[in-house]
Amino acid sequence: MKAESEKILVELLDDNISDVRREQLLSELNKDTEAIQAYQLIVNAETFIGDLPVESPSSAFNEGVLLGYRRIKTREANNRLMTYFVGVAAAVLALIFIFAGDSSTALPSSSAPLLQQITNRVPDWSITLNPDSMLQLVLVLNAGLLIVLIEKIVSKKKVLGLHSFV
Amino acid sequence: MRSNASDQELISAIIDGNSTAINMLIDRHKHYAFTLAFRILNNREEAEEASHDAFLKALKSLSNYRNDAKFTTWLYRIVVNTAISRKRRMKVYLEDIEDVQHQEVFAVSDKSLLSEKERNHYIGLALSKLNEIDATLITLYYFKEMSVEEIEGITGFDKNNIKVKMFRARKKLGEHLSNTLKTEVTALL
Repeated sequence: MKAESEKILVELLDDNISDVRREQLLSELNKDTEAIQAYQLIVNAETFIGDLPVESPSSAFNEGVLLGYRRIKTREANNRLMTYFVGVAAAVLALIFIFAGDSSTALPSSSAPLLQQITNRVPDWSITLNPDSMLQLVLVLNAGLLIVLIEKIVSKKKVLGLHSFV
Repeated sequence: MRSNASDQELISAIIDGNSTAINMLIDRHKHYAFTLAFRILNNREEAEEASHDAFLKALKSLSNYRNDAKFTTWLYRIVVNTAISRKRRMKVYLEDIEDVQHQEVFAVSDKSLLSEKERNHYIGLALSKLNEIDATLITLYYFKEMSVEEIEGITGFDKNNIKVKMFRARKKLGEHLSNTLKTEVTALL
């Protein structure tokens, strides 16, 4: 089929063209028998098809979607709770380290168990804030916030799941 | 919730946590969503799962839905993307009995002898021979007589591209129908 004929057929099959234009396009097609046959085939097939049959999903369709939706909501709530918990725990831990002594002992360096080191420092509430400990506090709080932010971004991307059509 | 509530009203109710509204929204659109997925995947189970996933994605991101497009356009776009992704992931394409049926000589001489069920079967068979893009376009086009603009919103193709692809898809569909129904029903085609 000629490229020109295909262009005409594309326009001819547009539902919005007028009858006059349709006649005009048909007369332009007259010399290309292959194109006329293609047009006739499409028109006849469409008459045969009529309305495209609509299929029905199973009767449990709604329940399945609702169940999936509830699961997602529960998982989201759990994830959020866990993220906030991790963020808060990180912040509390940071506060314990920072307020439990001066900057030289702010982070554990000996081989003693971590919990013991923390416990040893807790009674010492002498507030010795200095630029180092402030920096640690800011860093740990930022890490907590970053975790929350990443969780939000990841969950949003998963929800959309859209990609280009290609 | 009123049964004649608009999609936008249902969406607002769902965002407020109304589960009846979810049911109503699913009921309203599940047949077309499922049919669209079915035409792309040619498999009922896969289509059901794809339309399930599409509804879940839509429900989960309802708060991101902007009212500048029709809800159906947005939903069908998710259905089409989900179904096409699923089709591409499918490693084994089912060469099912339809191919055997395809060889049948369908001996009828009058359209009236074709029952609705048979007609749907042969249309479905012809549609299943199209690739996923052609099947999507044909299905959208014959669904509720969707306009080219709506199809553009769903597929992301530009209008001219849709028109050309539509013409080719319709031609292929006509050829498949003609081949499937053989000479006995040539008069019908």
